[in-house]
Amino acid sequence: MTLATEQVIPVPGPLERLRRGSVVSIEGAPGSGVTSLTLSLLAAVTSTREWVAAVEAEGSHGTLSAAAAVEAGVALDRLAVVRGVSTQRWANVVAALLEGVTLTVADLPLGVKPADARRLTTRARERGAILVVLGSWPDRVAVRLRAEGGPWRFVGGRLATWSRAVEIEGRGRPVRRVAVA
Amino acid sequence: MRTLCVWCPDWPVTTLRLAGRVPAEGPVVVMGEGGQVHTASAEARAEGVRRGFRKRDAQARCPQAVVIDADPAAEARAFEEVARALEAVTARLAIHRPGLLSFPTLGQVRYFGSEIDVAQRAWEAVGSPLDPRVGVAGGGLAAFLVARRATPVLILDDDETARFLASRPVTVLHEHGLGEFAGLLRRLGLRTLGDLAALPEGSVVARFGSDGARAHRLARGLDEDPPALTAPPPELAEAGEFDPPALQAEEAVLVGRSLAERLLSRLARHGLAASRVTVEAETEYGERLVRTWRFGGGTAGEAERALAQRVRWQLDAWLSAVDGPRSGLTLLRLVPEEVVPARGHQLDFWGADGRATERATRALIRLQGLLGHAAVVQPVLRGGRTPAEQTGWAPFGDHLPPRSWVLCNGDRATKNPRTRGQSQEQPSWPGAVPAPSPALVYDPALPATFVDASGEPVRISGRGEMPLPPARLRCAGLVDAPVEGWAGPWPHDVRFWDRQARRRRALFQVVAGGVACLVSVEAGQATVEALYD
Repeated sequence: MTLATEQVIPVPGPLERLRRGSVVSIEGAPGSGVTSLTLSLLAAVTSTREWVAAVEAEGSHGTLSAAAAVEAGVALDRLAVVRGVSTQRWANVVAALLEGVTLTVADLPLGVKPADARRLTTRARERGAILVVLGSWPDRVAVRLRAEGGPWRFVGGRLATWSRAVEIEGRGRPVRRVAVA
Repeated sequence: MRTLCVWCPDWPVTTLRLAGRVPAEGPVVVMGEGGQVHTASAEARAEGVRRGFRKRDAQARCPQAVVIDADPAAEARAFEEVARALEAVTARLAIHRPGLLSFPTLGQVRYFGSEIDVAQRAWEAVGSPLDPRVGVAGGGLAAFLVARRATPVLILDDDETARFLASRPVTVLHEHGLGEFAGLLRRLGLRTLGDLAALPEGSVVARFGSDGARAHRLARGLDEDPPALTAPPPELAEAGEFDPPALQAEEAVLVGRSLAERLLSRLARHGLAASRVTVEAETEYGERLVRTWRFGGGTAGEAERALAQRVRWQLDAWLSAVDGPRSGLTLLRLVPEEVVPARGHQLDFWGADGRATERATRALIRLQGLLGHAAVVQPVLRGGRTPAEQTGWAPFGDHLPPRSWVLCNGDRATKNPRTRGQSQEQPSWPGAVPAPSPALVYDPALPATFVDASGEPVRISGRGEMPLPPARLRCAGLVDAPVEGWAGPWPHDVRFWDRQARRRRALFQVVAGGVACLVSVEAGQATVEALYD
């Protein structure tokens, strides 16, 4: 049971915890595990019975898979997705979500202004909400994650395991590279 | 949903008259809780007696009236007869309170011919001595209001329902436990349901929260909650046995009360509340008694009291009926027929859960107002063979059922998050690609080039064979590399029963250039369906 006022949400895996009011950025090439990493954060927050939201920018390729989300442990009834958000509206949509849900994951469209980014960072801090941006955030971030894919193994005639890694930078610690099972 | 409502006016008075406890003619005033007038007969109303009056005021207006205390148990007993008579018309009736019941007309219309036929049969089943009023309209609230206007039968189609509702005062929301909220609306100058319905839903919810959302739905002629198409799983029912069998209502009532408490607190742990509950009993001789009750929201404590009271009425009605069961009760079961997400009333111990949902709901509805209803969605796991088929999207607020049932399957499922959602209830889809599922779905799929060693596009024969293994995958912006490993094919014969819509395709898991994708091949054309990301 997590108190609403508790400042830290535990996350299984390399990140260990998420601090409320912070901005986390996740970068990585397609297929390097960015989405899986995102899903693990969503799962950690929904398991504390809090709400999460994902923002898909207009013209973005790919959307979350419900099956993969369930396999990652995300409670789908606490996940909302806002689709097809244009660049002009992006900052307003993210700001509205930070008011309402505990964690917001957002595709970073091209051309987000540094002023908007600063405003959203402040908003997240004031509301005690977590903003996870997929891309390079033009403002300070608490933690920067970089997904690095790895070799896949086939077992029994199908894809089975993936030994990937995540590079973690932030919280005043040296850059670490952690393997993810 | 088209609903038929049967309303017996002044039911407490009718009951007392049938029992011979008050004269068949002349003014009667029935006193309810708190020393206030609960019901006044037509004669007393003509003298100016109104519900909510104090006894003194009622007697001052109408000195010749017979004043008597209400007997809810007797009302429920008498109404059980009405419900039994209506079983010839429908199997899906739900009692709201003694004197008022409703059922959806959909199946009955198909069986009896038209809504007029159904309404007429319902009226005949109850019988003219009880003076039933029958109303048919879209939605439960409208059907009730129409029944109150009926003489004795009134049917409004959906357009008429909307016009009729718009002219009703907001105070009718009292019937759905929103009496206080209606008072607030009146003070704000919103006098009719039409005034309320004219406001944008997002603003109403942003200002008034879940009460506002319910009221707005009702004002638009919808049911309080979107109809649930899936029945709650049977594990949610609560049952208690009687040993020795219970012959008196009192013995059964004690068990009934604890069952009600257990049922609602278990639902509350899953963030749910019941809006319709079936009371089932079995007797020593194997008779089976079943009746469904509908009850409104309120706080957790109120809901528990309301359910316990209805169980008591029902047991009392069965055990004291002349043609009741011939032996004692051996089993009592409470089955939730319709569950709804618990609203903000029900804070859990820390008060965090309901509040988080309330806050999120406000933000999401505000966004729906800004971007359109369909822009804010929730994922729903569906059956299917490809990731795109498996992922459904429902606009926020519409999705059904309100929760994935899998999460309700007891503690075992909740302890291990990895097994969550992979329930035995999910039908298996032969040919579906096994887990792990690709996390990123392309919908529509991305065009790709998938060739074998000879440079020819990969093709699958009718037997699922291919001449040469795949050698290279190219997809703009994603991958252009030799195949490092692959698995499959999973051949699908889609809609093989339909000559026009029939499609053949095969799925491959392909690793190329360090990226794992799900590739679909159909008629020699390859697409990347999803990415293992």
